[in-house]
Amino acid sequence: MSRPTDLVQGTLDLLILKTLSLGPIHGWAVGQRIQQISNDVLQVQQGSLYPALHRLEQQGWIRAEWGESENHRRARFYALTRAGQKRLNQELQQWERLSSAIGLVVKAV
Amino acid sequence: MRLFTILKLRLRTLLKSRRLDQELEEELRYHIDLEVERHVKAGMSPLEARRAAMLSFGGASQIQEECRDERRAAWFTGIGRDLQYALRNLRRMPGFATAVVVTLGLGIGANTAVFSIADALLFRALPLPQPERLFQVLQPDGPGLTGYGELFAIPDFADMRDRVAGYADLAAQTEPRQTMASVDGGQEEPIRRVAVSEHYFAVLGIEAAIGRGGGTEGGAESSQTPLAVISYGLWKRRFDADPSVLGRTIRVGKTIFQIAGVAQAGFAGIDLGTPTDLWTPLAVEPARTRSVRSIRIIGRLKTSATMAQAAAPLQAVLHQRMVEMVGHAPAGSPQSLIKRILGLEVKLIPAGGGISPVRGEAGRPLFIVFGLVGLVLLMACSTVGTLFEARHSARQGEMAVRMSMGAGRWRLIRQLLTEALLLAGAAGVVGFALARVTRPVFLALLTPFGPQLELPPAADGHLLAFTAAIGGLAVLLFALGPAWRSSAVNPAHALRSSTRLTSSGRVRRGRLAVVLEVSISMVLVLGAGAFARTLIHLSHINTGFDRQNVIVAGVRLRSVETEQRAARAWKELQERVSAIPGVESASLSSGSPFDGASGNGLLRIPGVASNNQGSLFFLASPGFFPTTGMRIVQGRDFEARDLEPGAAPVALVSESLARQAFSGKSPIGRTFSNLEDSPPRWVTIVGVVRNIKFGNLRDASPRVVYLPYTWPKPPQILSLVLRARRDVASLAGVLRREAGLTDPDLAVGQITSQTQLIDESLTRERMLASVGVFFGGLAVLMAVIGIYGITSYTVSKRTQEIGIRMALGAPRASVLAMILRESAIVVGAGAAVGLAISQAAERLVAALLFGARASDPATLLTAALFVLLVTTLAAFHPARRAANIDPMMAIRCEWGVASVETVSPLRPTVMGGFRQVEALERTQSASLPQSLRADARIFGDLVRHFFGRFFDKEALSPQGRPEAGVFQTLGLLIPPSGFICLLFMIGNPHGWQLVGLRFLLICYSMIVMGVVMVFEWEALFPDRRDYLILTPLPLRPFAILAAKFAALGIFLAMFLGAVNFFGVLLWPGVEGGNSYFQVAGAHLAVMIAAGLFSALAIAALQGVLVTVFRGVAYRRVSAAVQTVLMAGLILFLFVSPLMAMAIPNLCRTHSPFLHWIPPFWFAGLYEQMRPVVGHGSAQAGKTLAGLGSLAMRSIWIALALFTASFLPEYRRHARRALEISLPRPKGPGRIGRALSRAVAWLLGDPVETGVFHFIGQTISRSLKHRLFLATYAGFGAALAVMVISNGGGSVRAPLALSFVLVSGLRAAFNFPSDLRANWAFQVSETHSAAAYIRATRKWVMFLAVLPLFLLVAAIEAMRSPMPVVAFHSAFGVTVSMVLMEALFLGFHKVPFTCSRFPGKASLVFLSVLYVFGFTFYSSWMAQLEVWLWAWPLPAVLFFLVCGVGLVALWLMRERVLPSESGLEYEDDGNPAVRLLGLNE
Repeated sequence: MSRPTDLVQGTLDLLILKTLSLGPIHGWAVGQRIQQISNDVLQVQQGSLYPALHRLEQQGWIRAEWGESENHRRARFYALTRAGQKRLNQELQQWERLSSAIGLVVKAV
Repeated sequence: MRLFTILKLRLRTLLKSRRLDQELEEELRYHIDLEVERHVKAGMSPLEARRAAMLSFGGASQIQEECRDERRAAWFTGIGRDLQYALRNLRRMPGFATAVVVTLGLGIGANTAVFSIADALLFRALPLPQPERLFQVLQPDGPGLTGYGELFAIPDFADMRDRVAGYADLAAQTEPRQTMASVDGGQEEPIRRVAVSEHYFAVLGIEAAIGRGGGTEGGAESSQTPLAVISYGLWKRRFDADPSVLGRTIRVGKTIFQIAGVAQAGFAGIDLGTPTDLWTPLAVEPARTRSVRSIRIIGRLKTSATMAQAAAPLQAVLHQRMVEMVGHAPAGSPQSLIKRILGLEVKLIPAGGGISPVRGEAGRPLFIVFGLVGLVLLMACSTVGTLFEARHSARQGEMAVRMSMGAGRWRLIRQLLTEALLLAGAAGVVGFALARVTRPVFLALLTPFGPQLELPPAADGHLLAFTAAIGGLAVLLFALGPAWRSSAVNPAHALRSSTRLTSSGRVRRGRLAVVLEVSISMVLVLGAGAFARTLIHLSHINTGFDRQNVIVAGVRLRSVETEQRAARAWKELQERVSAIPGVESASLSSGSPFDGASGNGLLRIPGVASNNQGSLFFLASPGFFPTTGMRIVQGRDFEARDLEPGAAPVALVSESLARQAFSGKSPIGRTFSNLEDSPPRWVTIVGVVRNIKFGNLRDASPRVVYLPYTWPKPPQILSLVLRARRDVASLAGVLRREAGLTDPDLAVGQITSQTQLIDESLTRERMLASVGVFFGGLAVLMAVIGIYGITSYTVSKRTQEIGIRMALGAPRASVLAMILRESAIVVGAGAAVGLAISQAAERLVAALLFGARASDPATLLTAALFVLLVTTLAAFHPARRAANIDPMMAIRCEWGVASVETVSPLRPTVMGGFRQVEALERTQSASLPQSLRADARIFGDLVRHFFGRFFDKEALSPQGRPEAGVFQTLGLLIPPSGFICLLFMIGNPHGWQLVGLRFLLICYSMIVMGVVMVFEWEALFPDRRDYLILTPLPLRPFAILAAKFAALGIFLAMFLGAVNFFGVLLWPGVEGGNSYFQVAGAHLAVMIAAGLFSALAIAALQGVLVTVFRGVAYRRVSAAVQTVLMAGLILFLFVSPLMAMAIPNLCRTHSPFLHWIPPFWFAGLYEQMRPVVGHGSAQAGKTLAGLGSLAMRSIWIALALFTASFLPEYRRHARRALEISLPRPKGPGRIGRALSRAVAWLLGDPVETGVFHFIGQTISRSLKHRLFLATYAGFGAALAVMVISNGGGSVRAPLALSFVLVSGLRAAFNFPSDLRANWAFQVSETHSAAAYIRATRKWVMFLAVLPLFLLVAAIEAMRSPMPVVAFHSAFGVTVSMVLMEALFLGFHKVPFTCSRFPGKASLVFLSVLYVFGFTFYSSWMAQLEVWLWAWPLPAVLFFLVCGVGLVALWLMRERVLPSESGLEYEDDGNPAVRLLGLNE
């Protein structure tokens, strides 16, 4: 099975963290929201979403809790922890450095 | 916070994995449902929507698995990978790992041992109900009533019990006493007895195992036999747990007790360390007055009462007693004193944990020992910490790489800590094992005065917890800091720059650690010196009498019918004994001054005011003073008329008494009487005796009154004191016979010599001195390791700097001096701190010292010099390395990792070669003195080269680092020898035992030297490798010979030193006597002579061989001889204890055996050389000493033989070996070819045939394997000797041999073979695992096991009937096959095909297997065989089960293995071979 390599792993983490920083949501909604916000440019492969969520949880960046969803079903909600907030800030900085550097290079050429 | 969360998550993963899986499934289902919903909203049909959702989602189970991986990966695999990585890392540096484990293990072991004692003494409650309610009553006691004592008078107890009845129940008991008792009128035996009050058992709450626990009550008032209770232990031990023990009798002295009960299991009295065997009623004890304090009072609080409530009534009783005492006080006593006395209070202390003298005020030894072992642990941690720092620094590059690849700092720390934990875990295991062995040592240390404590073993749970805790603490101490600092690398920085820039802090910390280590070792060495000097002072002290040749025998008159008869018996005994040949004079007395038997009392002297100083009363017969060499300075000796009944009572007094009581005037003619006698019986003083030491060498001479032994009436017990030119053993029989002839009621007890009695009084001093030396040595060793580590580290850090200095013209000497100066500053600082600490600590041990102080100039200077010298030597090697740095290499070397390997001076090839060529060039053009110097340097390099080559052996140092080999080897040798020596000290052996132990040490020296020589067998001859040195340089063969022998000499001296290091230090302590250096010197000389002899003898044997045989024959014979020698030495190693035990018998029978076995000669030499100090030499016997001359002669003969055969042959042989080209190896002969055809035909499979041949060829051709198997053969032979000499008979021996054979082969198969063969198998790696395994099994079966049992059967057939032989053989073969399957279970490879030494772990495993196998396997199997022989049906069943099992196993393997691809290698071999891609 081929898997699109649109998103580098580190970037997916950043996207998830950023999305969760807006408030706790469940897994499906994470994918939906990334897609929404990016105007359908970024399509998160559903297969890689959950491993990523679990990895982030194991790292302690995010925390998962069972709650009731809008359609009154049991769903697993993910939220950012305080450590995750810090991590997000770090990653954002790095991202900015990287993107501006790339920008510079791209423009120069 | 995050860490905590993560921890929680990990725990959840670990514990609730199933629930997590369910949740995950639910989560994913929910996702798909939402997706379906979305599609439906977009207008799809539900079915279509679901299909689309599933499609876009991908494989659900795969995602689940990935999620699970994420969970697990973070936890399990992380740990697993860390462990794996750590293990691999440590395996790469076995030297480091061994050093750490040994150092830490020693520290942890010592602490655990002491804790196990503290646990039993302090922390465990007695096995009684509600132990916390038990208490003991103490009252003011001791000089000036300043301390507390536990003894009370019986009437006090009665008063107290009545008064306190409302709050507590009281019971009383005497102190446990060792008495002689006879069971049912049988032989007397020692028993520990305690007399207890009524209700004792009820008060303590002791249950009875059988009978009545409270059986001791009330037996006395009635006229019937008093009752007694025995302990569970005694019941089991003495009565074999006989349930009908009640009613049997025990006689103690004249009283006969009837056993009324057995106390509950596990209870052995409340006295810790001295288990009670027998409880008897206090009521039958002789009535005592108020003035005699003999009992302890124990109580149990009632449920609602408190200690304070119980104390009040007890206090009232004490107060009353004090008021009475004050009433009797002499007029004019100061009021303040009276007031203080009236204010004294009783004290109640908890007794639920039992009573022990080691607790409380006398518990100081425990704390001193705790302090000592704590220091040892601290030092171990500090040493290990330094090693870790140095090691981490070498890994900076690795850290940086890992970090730049994304590892976090915690990840690195975790990795480093995992390694540390792994090492600490191993050290914990070592320590735990060590603790069990060393416990008696520490136990003996705690009670230096009295008999040894007998403590129950400590609870394993507590011990394990403690070991774990202390191991964890150690990790925190030694590993956390280094790990924290090492992980703080800046990857970019570390990778770019060389490491020299980042290390100053590390060096500083390392130096601080070294200061700490040196100061601690200084304190311990000073302490050891002070204790040793105390021992020397005390043993040189003038006792006031002549201790040589005096023998003391205790004599008892069993019944005294009339005084006349007793007097006659004693008189006759003295006369008869005087007439024994060899006895110069004989006398009677109440004891020897050093066996502690004498009465004590106050004197009443007319005209002299009584001061409260007591005097000793000592009974003596006429002739006592001349016999013991005591001088009468005034007046006369006793005379025969003084003994006559009715004679005027006379006495002699000691000078001290004369001086103090009669203020220096002559006391002759004055009279005195015992103050207790009323009316007074006046005794006239007729003489004054010079002061002597009494019982204790430290105390001033006491005041002594010597009375005739018949005064006031002839006693029942006296000592015979003889001056004789014979030893104790030879006199014992004669004395007993003479006593029996004099009077059948006279019984001679223990016979000892005066010197031995004095020596025994010094047991504690000897113990302290040796333990001090041991700990001091340990501390110095650790300091040496620390200094070596830190200096090597500094040098490796400064390689570049030093290189630059040298390039700029700094001479070697100045570099050397620079490094040495730096280490000297550190060591000096440490020594100064140590001195300061020891001055402060001296007060703590002042009471234990005598005539020596830690601040003695002599002690101080010696200790300081010793520590400085040793530590400077430790720094010398790294300093040399610094001085030998090649400037060009050092500067060019970019990574700064020009560490040990590249700058080692032991590495002869590159640098040495250059220097030699350079030196040669200089020689040709320079003047004579310079060329001489150059020659000397070449020679030095040559010696170093050969020395390095000895250690350049796979088996010694896998990574090819000679100094690791040196340390490893010495480290392996020194601790065991130290341990053996320490055990000697504890055993405190005498007489033959002593000779035997010494013999053992001599044997071990000889064996070690022999093994080294056999191991270096090849080095005695020029080999091809020497040719490589000879060719470029015009050296003569003899230069090489001389260099080789010099290296060999250093090598041998090192081993000899390692084996005997502690022996030489401690031995004089064991020998006792008074000449420390003479004994040490004799020991050293004999060990050197013995070692020299075995080395020379083996070299001479080589010489003879090379003279007699030529060419190929020589090679074959020499290999065979070497193998046999190896086996013989190992056999000897195991048999030598048996031989040591046999010495007395051999000497008595003048066995010819003595003349044929060299160690006996050297034991004899020792007997000749040792200074004559007392008991030992007399017993050793002239026979042994007579052998001494043989030893010297043997050395000369060996030397002559060596010179005559070896030296002339050497040149010829050297030329042949070096100049003639190597003979081409010939192919197999006709027989060989026929054999291989037969094997090929039998086995069928070509791969199998190949393996089969490979095994055979390796074993027969490879020296390494031959020696290894020879070692096993030695084991086996020793085992056979032991089994047969134990009377185990022929049943066990073959089984034991088959065990040795199979396990030996299993071990040998692990050894790597020639690399090329190894590669061949790697390259030809096909799907033939089954064939490899089949071939291995068949080889073991057909070429080892079957031949062994065929041989056994042939031998047995000569004397046993056929069915027995057949059964025996069948059983043996079957059991061997089962054993083989068990041992070769995991062996999935071609034998000899790992390219690496198997490592210490499997060696340890093998030796453990051996010990247990030796011990249990053969005897169990032999029992099984005997049993099966008697029962045919089980026998048939047994063979059936074994047969079916083996066949099934075989078939299963055939089915499973062909599908297994390839083989397991213990490592990857040479990766280059795999890269060749030959398999595809």
